[in-house]
Amino acid sequence: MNNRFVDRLDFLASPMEKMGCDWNKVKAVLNLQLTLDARRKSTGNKKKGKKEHGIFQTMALMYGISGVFTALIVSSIPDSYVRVSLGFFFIFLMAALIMITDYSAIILDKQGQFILQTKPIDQKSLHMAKLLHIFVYMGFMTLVLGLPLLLLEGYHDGIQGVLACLLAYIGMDLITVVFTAFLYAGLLRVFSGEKLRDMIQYLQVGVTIIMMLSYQVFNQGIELRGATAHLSPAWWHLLLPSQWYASWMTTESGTLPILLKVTGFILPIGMILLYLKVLAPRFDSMLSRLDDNKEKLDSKKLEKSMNRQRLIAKVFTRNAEESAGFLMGYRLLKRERKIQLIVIPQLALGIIFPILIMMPILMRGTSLEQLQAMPLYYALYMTGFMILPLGIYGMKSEYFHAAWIFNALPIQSPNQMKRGLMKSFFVRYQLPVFIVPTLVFIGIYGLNALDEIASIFFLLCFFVRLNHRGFGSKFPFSEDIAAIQDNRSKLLRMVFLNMATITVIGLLHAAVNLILHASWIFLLFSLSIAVYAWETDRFLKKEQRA
Amino acid sequence: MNENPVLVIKDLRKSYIPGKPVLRGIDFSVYPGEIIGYIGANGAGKSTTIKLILGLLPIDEGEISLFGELLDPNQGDFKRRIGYVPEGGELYENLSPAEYFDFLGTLYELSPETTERRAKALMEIFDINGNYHNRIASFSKGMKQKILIISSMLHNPDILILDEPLNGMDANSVMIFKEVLSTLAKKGKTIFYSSHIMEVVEKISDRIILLSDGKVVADGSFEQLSEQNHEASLEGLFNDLTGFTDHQELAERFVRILEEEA
Repeated sequence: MNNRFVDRLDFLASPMEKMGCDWNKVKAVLNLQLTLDARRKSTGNKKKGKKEHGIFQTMALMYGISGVFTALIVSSIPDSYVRVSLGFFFIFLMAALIMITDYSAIILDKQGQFILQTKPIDQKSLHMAKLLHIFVYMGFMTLVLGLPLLLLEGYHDGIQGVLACLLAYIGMDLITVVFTAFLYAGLLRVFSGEKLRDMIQYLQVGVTIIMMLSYQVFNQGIELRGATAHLSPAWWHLLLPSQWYASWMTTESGTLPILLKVTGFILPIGMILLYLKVLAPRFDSMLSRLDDNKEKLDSKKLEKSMNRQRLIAKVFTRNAEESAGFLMGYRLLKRERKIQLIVIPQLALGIIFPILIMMPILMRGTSLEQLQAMPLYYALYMTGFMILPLGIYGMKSEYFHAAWIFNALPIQSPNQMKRGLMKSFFVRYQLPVFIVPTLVFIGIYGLNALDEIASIFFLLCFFVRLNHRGFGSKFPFSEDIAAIQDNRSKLLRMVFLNMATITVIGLLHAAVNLILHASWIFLLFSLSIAVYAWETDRFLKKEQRA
Repeated sequence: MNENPVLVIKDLRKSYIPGKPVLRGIDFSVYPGEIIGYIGANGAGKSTTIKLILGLLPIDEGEISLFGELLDPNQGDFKRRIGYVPEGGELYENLSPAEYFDFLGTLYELSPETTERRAKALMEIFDINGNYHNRIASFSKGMKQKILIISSMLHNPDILILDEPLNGMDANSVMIFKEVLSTLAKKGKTIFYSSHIMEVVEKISDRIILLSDGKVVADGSFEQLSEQNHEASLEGLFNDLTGFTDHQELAERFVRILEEEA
């Protein structure tokens, strides 16, 4: 991403000038933004000798890996139309996800806008630069994401497959970007201030969850039915952009495939024109509503809820420092948008995972009696893999610079406070996720397996505490949430460590039950280590205890 | 000064990089009721001193005594009697003042009722009441600064350490705040005031300590110092003592560059 790349866009100069934009200024702004993007570094602890990549490179690598997985998943499908239908659908979802999570910041950026507006550059050129910035990024990421599928199609269907892919990626990018802009415009009309930010947040979490779930469900579906699947163009495909482009690969003829192909051309072009004519001139002034905070708050109600939170803290904590940490966590965690964006989809996956494991069994038409004969509740451990290390996000914050306050306060034991925070994370996020599948299993197996299911539940609670070993910092909310790179590699290590330990414990659990028939003893054991672990710092590393 | 000093600093030395000392032996004592203007050029070691007093950094050499006891950074109790406003201090903006103060109150061992009563009353004086339950993120810069100031005083500390505390505050609030400081000093509280705005320091402090190059180069009341150095303003004094004299020449050059042909 350097000057040369932006210079290649010079072919846009004359249409841009016709629209009333100053192309040189558009280029200057675009150049600046792209340079900034490429340099945005992970701000975490810099280790010596470790090569540093910008966040951009890390993201590209991540999407590249997702792209390879997508291609691998669909590669087992022999029918070209079914294959591209699913492949495009995945990529469309991913593009929506990229747009909504990564680039909302660009659409909704006011800070940069504010700085640039004081310089002699007109609103129109500025907006165009912003739009191009998003397209360049989306285009690049989609290409990284879609390249494996494109190669696969090239192998199967030759030039026709490659062209269909390229067309699909361009079309889907246009639709995603413009649709998101319209969606935000709609939200901007209805909401304002913090409420608006919350709505955008829900949207992001929603899209992420849909994305993760459909990935899982489709993956399972393809494994089961992939080899024999057949699909014909249907009228409802007109509602699904990925199908417009998939229709290039169908062998069927008739009006519908033609209609789909035409829609794939007309709609994106129509949408972008509509955007430029109608929305673009107004969008930036609409953004001011982001800072409009005229919410009327019911202070009586809020004070009551603060008192209720204090009561909850009393139940779960033992002393003032622990309770201060707990309350801070309890209140901050529900508002830290970036933490939620990462954590909530994982939690959703954690809830759904054990159920997903049972899906193939249920699809075979297994009866309840047959089901009860199988100890499927061991799948509860699966929930654990995902949920256990998440508490590490409680150490992070968008406002980590505010952590100076901990040093100014008379804190006797930072560990007490950290434990308070971890308890709040556990109560707010992890506990509910353990409870839901646990209840589902108790519903299926009734009281017969209650002792075993409860044992697993308590073991998971114990493991949550054990995972706190990996959390380095002295104080909660003191690390930069934007240091994605560090987060991911550390998290991945912890997930693997969890998998290993839990597998051993799970086998041990099964062995104790099968050989000794001592499930009640195991229950007692798991309950006591869970309680013990949460009441002591013994399971933390030595330096953390100091 | 027959009272015991609240803060004694003896031959304090600190360097982050070996061989490049930031503090090169600082000595002074601070007594109850004093308002100290702690000034110095960028990089002179002001913030380092403050961090050392709060126990945030290990001391290389020398000693700091607070309230008659040698400072022990591993022990947090002395912070109960200190109020601190850091320069550009940030807040957990996802919290409301109510929640932030509640957190501080718990750690200062104030009851929730006391915290709420004090915080609300102080916010009213600063004319930002009605925002008690709004998220701090939605506040203006001046409002945030007021929250910082209230945070530093909620527990009625004996020493206030203030680093550019007026950042972004409106003139009326500044006037209240200055009045508050002198009233507190009269009641025997100590104020350690660090700033780059010389006019304010000159007016507010009854003793000025000027740091240059890691050493105390001046220590006394403004009147004493200006007599010694024949300077009518603290700004002039500051320039004199930090050895900076060519500001006029530099300014002229600055303007000349702008006037050159484009």
